[in-house]
Amino acid sequence: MVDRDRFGLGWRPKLALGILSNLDRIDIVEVIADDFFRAPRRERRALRTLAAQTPITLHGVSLGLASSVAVETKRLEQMARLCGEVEPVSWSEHLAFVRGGGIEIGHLAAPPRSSATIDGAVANLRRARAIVGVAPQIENVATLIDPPGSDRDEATWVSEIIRHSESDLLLDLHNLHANALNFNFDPVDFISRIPPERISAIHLAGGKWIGRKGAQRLLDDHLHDVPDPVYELLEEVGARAPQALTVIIERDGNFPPIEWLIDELERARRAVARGRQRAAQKAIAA
Amino acid sequence: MSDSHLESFLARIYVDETTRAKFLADPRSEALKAGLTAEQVEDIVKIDRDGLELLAASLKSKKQGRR
Amino acid sequence: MNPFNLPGPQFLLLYIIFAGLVVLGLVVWRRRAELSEAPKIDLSDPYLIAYLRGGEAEVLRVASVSLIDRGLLLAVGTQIQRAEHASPDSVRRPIEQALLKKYARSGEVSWMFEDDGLKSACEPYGNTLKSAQLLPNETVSEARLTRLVIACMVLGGVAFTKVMIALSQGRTNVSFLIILMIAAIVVAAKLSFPRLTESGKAMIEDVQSLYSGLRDRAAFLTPGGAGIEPMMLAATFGVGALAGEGFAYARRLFPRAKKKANGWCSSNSGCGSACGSSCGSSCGGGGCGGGCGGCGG
Repeated sequence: MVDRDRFGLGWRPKLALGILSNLDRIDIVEVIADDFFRAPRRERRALRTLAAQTPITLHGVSLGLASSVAVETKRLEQMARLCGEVEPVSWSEHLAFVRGGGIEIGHLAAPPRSSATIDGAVANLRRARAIVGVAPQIENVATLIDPPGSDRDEATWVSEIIRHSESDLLLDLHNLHANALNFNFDPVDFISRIPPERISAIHLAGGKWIGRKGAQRLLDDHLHDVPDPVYELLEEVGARAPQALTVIIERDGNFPPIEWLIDELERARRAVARGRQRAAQKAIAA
Repeated sequence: MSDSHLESFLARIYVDETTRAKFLADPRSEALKAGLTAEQVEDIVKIDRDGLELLAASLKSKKQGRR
Repeated sequence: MNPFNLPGPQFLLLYIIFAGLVVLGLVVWRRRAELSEAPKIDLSDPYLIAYLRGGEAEVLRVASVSLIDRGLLLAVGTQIQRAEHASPDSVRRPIEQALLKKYARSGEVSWMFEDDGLKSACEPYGNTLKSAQLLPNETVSEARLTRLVIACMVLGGVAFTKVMIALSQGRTNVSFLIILMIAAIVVAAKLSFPRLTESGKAMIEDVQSLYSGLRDRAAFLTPGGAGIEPMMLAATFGVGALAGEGFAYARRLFPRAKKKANGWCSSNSGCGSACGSSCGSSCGGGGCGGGCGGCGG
């Protein structure tokens, strides 16, 4: 069923020349949508020019869809306008809450994993689809804190949202890896509990350990190389997901030479290919 | 049922040092004052304190990085 | 009321307004006709970008600086010469080969702008940009001429009609009107044939926006030929954008380019910022355009 897996990088100004010089090895570019919501028309047009050179996907970071509170319509309309101008191949957001009681958290926080946030997320995703015109892919977030008020585990919570909405999962494997280490669960078990046909995109990133000795947690900071276990998880997904995957490497700073990132991308291609091969061999054996 | 009170409370203790200090000193009382349900209060008094401190530090550092 | 029956001074005033509207209409018409979806071109080729921004002269400036940066050309004062170890075969691009041939012996840098051979070596870039309609090709040029002819007919027709009426009434003071008509036609002609098409103008602005990160890092780019970032900076924003003592030779060799680059984006009014917005997202860790600094945590 796989059409063609795509492998790409997150667009960052510092990587612009490197990305544009290697479009023969980069299939898609992911752009942070929020950087352009209030940008002058000229800069949004530049995004459209970028989209003429390579497929782009827009990635939002401030809607806060996984909340029991309704997302403001004006925020969804902002995304809709940008999507209309740029015509990306897809758009995505996070299963996170980012504000509450008038306070902006300033980052993507894991909400309580409860029926209230499931219902809220599903309702927000329905509205997002109606206003933007197409359902977003939704991404699991990393968390340093086990969210209070949770009555189910992350795999259950994510699966329920996926099952009750039109949105596919953008599975961030470093977020999964970090959460699994920080809260002691098996990431492969997590993957096995997500409907595989609903995983359409993947994020890969790196992080670092923070905190005092004995109480350390892995922080997903996008400033480090993708670690080996994440490629292993990617192979697992490749073995299970029947449809084409879009795999994006996120790097926000501490940039290595572009060749290094292209090599990471090639390693990701090989991991998915190994997974696909494993699945094919299993199908033949069966 | 909405978790909006809980989300608001979490946002405050994640971001605001004073609110967080008050909460850590007397979690039950602060949670009740914030209008959480009995079940939510019982849950939040058992909050992952290590995680909370790390998250707060991470948010503060990100905010400083953006300035 | 028939405007052609207006007294002379009033008609002149009316004609000035009319001519202004015709010229404005001509410009708007050209811009709309020439603005189309961005084509796919190699945005990583500094010479292609340089040609779009400033034609052959810009390609020659950027290529010279690139060869000097790589130690293949040597600069002494306003003269350049091929380095002893360098040969035209050691480079791949025809424009670079042509420059190394031209400066086998020391010569003034200004000579390159008069050399037909070097101009021919730049032609492929022009052809690519014409195919993409970022520079006017034959079709675009014909359309421009047609629009100008129509505008001239309108301007001339109105002026001519008034002249005939005036002469038929025994009034011979028509020279001001004729001068105005000629002036309007000259302005219309000047505005009808800009070097870039509207799409080309948009493309340069877009490239400057996409490469705004380079401009922001200009002070940190080092000479030495290791990467193409300095050359892309020069191609996108002008040789004058190269900062630091390491590139002082570039400013010395091409002082006019420095003056152009001082308003870096002024020719197209706006390069965009590295952020592109006030970055009002609740995420935005690491600064604007810097991604979200990690998803959660």
